[in-house]
Amino acid sequence: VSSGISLPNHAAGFFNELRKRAATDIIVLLSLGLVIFAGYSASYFISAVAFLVLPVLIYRPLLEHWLFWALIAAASCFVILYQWYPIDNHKFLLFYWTLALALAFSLFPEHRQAFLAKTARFLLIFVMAGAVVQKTLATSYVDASFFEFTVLTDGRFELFMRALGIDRGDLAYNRDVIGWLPSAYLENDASTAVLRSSSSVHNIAFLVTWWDYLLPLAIGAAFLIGTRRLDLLGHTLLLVFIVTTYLVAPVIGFGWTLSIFGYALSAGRFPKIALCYLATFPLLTVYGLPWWTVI
Amino acid sequence: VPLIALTIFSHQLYHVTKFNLSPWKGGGMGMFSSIAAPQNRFIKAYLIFGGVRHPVAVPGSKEGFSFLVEPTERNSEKLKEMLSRSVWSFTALDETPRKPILQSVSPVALERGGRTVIHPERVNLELWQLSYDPGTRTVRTLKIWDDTQ
Repeated sequence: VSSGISLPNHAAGFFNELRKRAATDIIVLLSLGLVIFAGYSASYFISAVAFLVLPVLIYRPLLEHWLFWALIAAASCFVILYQWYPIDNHKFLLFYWTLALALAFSLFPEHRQAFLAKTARFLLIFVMAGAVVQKTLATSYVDASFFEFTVLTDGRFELFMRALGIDRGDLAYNRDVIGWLPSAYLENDASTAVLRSSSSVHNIAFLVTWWDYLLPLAIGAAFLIGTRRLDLLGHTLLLVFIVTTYLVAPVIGFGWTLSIFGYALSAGRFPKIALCYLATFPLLTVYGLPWWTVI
Repeated sequence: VPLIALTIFSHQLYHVTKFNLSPWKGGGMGMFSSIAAPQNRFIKAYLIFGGVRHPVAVPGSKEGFSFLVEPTERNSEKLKEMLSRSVWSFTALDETPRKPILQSVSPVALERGGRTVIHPERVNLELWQLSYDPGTRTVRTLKIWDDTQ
């Protein structure tokens, strides 16, 4: 049975709806998507989210109630405390953000967007400055040895390395060697292995190292100073960071999290930039497809 | 929110510098900053019985992962306790000339019989980490925890 509305009209209706919606409305929907599609993998968290989200599908106003987000934050906090070691660092941000949403919806409606923008600014500075501090303190980062090792042995970088002409067989050999070293002590105590590489790898690693150091440094500094012009620069650099970084290292949940923070911070002052952040969601989803299995 | 985030971040940074916590875990922002990721660390465990030190493969467990991420005295004791509780037996010698390896045995395999169960007197743990020298493209293993010293 046809609804009588053509596909182009549906698309026009979608973009019209997007323009009409309040920023906080879009922020909660994006955050809900983050919780559902990139939340914690612990079964009790998934059950808690299902229990909380199902009523929202029928009665939407629940999504803008502080208690809904407080319960999601409580479930996140429980996962973090119970799985302190297995949880990835960026997943802690989901707890901070859901807590911020709970606090925002306990305020009068006119203060919510400003509160979320302020929290998003802090979290963006926190993420970028924190990354720069830890990269500076790490012994294997600044000399590019970390990235050289990583691009040669981490399967997540294989597609990127193959695109740059690095031999697929060499990368597979390196992964095998790295996989063998930890168990070698059971039969003979091997303690070294030489990786297969090419002369261009060191230059690639050097570029990736400084790209991934200077960009967060500039983003953090721009948002910390926070003048209109520097905010605009910060958003531009953050978009460049999201679009480039997660193409190479597809940690999609982290990319979505940064996009939500960017959207929350920009929606009130830079509507066009905010739309760019929205566009990163489908883009990152495409990045996350298992391209290496078909190429 | 800032107070919680900064407290967790400071706690993580302190544990990274003081207790060799992997910068990839514990609530900091040290992902993609260091080779010290859990996948680049490994545990060497030795069961001691009859005065001989036998290397064993550590079965996947929460205790093993915790020690891998942060080699503290507490995490080490928990892993040792888990390894002492496990049932161990030598694998049968196959045709290739290699020494028999101690493995943890499931209750089902134990019921089938034909195995000598080993009761370790003590457990020794070592934690090793990969390091990389870009000049020679060499990966080395580096000991970062040893409870025998």
